[in-house]
Amino acid sequence: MIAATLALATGIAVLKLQHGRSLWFAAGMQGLLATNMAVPGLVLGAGYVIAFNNNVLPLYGTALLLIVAYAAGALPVAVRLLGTATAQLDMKLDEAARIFALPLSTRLIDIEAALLARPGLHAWLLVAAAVMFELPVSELLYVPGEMPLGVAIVSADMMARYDVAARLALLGMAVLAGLAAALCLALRLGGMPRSLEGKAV
Amino acid sequence: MRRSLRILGASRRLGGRVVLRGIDLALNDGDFLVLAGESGSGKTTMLRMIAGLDRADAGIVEINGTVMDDAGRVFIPAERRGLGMVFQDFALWPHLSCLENVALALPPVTPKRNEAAMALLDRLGVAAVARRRPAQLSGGQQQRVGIARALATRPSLLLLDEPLSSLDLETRERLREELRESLRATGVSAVLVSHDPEDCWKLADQVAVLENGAIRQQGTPQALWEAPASPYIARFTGAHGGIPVPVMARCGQAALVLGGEVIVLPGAPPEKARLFWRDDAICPAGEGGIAAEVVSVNFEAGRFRVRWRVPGLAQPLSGYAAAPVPLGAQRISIDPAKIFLFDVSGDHCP
Repeated sequence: MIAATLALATGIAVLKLQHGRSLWFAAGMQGLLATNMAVPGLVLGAGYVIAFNNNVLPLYGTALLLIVAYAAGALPVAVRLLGTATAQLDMKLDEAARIFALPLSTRLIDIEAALLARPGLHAWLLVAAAVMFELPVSELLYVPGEMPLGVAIVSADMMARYDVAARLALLGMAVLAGLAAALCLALRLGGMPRSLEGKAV
Repeated sequence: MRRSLRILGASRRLGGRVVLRGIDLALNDGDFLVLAGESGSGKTTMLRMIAGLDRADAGIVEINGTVMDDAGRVFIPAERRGLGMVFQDFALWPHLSCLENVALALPPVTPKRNEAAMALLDRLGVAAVARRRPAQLSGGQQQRVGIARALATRPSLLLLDEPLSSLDLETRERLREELRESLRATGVSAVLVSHDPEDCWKLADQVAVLENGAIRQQGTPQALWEAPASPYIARFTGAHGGIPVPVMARCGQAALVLGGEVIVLPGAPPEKARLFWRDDAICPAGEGGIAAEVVSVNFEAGRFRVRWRVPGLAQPLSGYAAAPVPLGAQRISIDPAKIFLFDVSGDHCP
């Protein structure tokens, strides 16, 4: 969940960085992100081991490296999903908010974030599902004694404990279904703009 | 008199192209200015520059006596200009109800925001749909909510970017009246971008016409009607024609030769000219006048539109008659005060 949130936050930052710049910049950025998908997970995992198993950045063996690797892997998907949603957002909505002197926080939270909430949460769910059952990077980078779900399922399978593997897989699916239901409910109960709360509207 | 808006020598380039050049414009408090011009003439860029959504490359934009944009030296952004704006495609926040759209635009210190927002919606006749979201409303209702939202900021200057263009005729007519009444009641000045002549006649105290990024003519609707400065303005104010005509020089004045008759107009004669005329400039003459041939007559909104072919002219002249006119030879008279000659470059000749 942290990795999915990090991927989405980085995705938004990437899209903000692209906004208003040349098409070449956007194409370069997309290409850079796409290479992350083109490289096989095992190779990518090995790369992380080499890059972070030293005195400068001794992250190998920590949960932080796993989160960073998951987020980086999910970033291209997050950018694609959010990019479509942000491209459809009418610029005039923000211009109207500026004309009517809405503070930056209101513009970001009550207008932009509110309009991007649905596609954003869908993207988050998709990324979270992919990360939850991710295997190649998890196998190489997981913290000893704290197996990620994908690794735990494979490990149970290899020890012929198929009942445990099946239960873990079902548990993962149930968690995702629960998350999806909670997000749907959150969207349905979205409510009034934060800036109007408590102001007798 | 206090000025709501003053623009001095403003210019703007976009993508290497000059979109606005040397714009000088002034608007008195409480006045309604219609900013007209063909597509691509720079109207919307000018409105965005006034709003603070775009910057001037040169010149000064002053609102209520305060310099808002001084080409890089001073720039007050849109959120601090205290303006209201109505957008062509409404730009209502789609995830909020109409009431929330208006309430959000109210100044933060407003007490009883829902009552204030509801009062505005009520004034514009859309209180009944206050709890609905914009997508659930018709275009006319959405535009009313847009106007209510723009008035919510209690602006001294309201900007309107073709707010009526996407509405049907009846709704447009009704909204025009309501808009004028609302602005008169609140004393708000307004700049409305339009290329609908009806906006000029029914809303404007002043009209400014943009052509190729420059203001070609500014004045009252009557001044523009009486002496249009260009073919576009002549057409915009309801003149017909634009047909090439032979022109001679006579004692330093332009002499128009039609069907053997000579009509002398003041001003230097151009080499090649185009003729425009008002509805009532041409009418059947009992005797004398210009020899012509009636080529078609058709009923048009309570009168008869007649087309006359005149020897020497490539296209027929047209005018209106109260009763049907028989086809064939007829003599016509032309009122020189109601015709305009422009040389082919578009400059007014007389």
